[in-house]
Amino acid sequence: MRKYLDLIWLRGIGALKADTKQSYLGMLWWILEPLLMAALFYLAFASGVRGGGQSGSSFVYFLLTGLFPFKWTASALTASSNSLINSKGILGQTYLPKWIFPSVANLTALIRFAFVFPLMLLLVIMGGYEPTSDWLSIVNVILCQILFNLSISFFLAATVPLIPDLTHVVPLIVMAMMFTSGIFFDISERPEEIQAILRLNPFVTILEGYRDVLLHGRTANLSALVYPFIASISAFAAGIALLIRFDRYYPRALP
Amino acid sequence: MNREIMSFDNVGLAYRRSLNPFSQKNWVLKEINFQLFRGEVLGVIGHNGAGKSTLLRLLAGIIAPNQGKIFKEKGVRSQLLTLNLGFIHKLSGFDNAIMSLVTQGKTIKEANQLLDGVIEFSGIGHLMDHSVSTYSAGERARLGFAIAMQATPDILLLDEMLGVGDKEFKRKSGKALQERVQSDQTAVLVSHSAGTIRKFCERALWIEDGLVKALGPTDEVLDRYEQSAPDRDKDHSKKAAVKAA
Repeated sequence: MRKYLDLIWLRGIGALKADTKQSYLGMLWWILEPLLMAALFYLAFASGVRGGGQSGSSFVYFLLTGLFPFKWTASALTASSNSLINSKGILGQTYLPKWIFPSVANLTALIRFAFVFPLMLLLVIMGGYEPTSDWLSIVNVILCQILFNLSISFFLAATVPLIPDLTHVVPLIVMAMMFTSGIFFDISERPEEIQAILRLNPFVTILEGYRDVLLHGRTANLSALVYPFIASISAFAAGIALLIRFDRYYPRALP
Repeated sequence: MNREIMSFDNVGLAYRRSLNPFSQKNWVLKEINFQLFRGEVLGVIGHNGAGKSTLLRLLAGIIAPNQGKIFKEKGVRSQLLTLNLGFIHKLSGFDNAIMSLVTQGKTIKEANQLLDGVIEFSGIGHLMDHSVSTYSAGERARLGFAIAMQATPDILLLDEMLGVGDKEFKRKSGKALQERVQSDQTAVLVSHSAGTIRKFCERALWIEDGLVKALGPTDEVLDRYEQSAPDRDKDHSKKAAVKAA
């Protein structure tokens, strides 16, 4: 077990190191990319969707606190869904438990978010939102999101090699999450029945957790996080069961 | 004879011809039965497509068979000797050496202790800081081989008995591999070359068309193998002649 954790750590750090060597700006891209993306979406949505422009200034922070955590989840899921396929070289040469690979993808995504998160806090504070001791409860939201990312990642990593068609579907799922998780609009302002449907997506609750704490000065609502927690545990169980069941089949299934 | 360390009982392995779950199965291995004993070197011989590589992957525990059982003594680790296991080419020789050693089952601490041995054997200490993508193929093979030799599996699996790199390193690596195989290391050696098998193996396993054609003392098995080979070639050339006509 120890050596598997060592391996996850080394491969995670290794992937990040290699990543920074691929460009002139290196690590700077970790924060530059989400910033540019936020700027782009702000330009696209601030006037159009929110209208009037009177709430434009608070919309920036609404957008940031949704988009940055979403980027974290999106990169973890995308990398994990391909993690076994991308490791087929290693998997064809030696035996390794398959859960290592989505874990590596989650580690790198988490480390990158560790750079983005302070930036997000800083921007929110600069926007005039007072940090209070309630902000500490954001830790609950982050832990819940770590579990959510890992669970969906395990499930995708386990299913994509078995049903290769899913490689086409995963980007669509991620995009669907982007448009339905309330990154650009406030779900609680939608009609009741629409809300009910959108809230089936556990990620909605996680994003609302960030905003409750950072923008609305509330503590993270633990009872609200129960749903994403249970949904994550279920996906985790299904994912790990598949990974174990097909442990020695994946090297044959990989293209 | 020594204790049995691993055995195959009626092992078969099939691939589907396409993703369609109703498509026909291709049986690469059909009914494979043999034992591997502690400390011996077993040679596996057979023609292209006989299922030798698949057999190695089963022995390494990378894949599981569709039928039959593979018994392995508890706690026994079998590993394929491979170069450049899990290398990330953008990273330095150091980083890759550590990562590769951990992939082979060491902890980070153990890997750090083994590093000196790797550098010494590879003879490319001056390049260890450089990214592996800047290495020549030979330098990469040197590093890969030096790392691979640090692995200490209970059963060493070899696909051909080959030294790597330039002339000098080929001799050095070939010699290291020989010494390893001729020690009390349990090993399975797959080769096309009857000469190699004769040189290193006490027993040989000949597989053909997914079946065990012969299993026993190397000389007996190989004599039969070599007698059959010309027939087979003749057969092929006859077919080729027919085709050409």
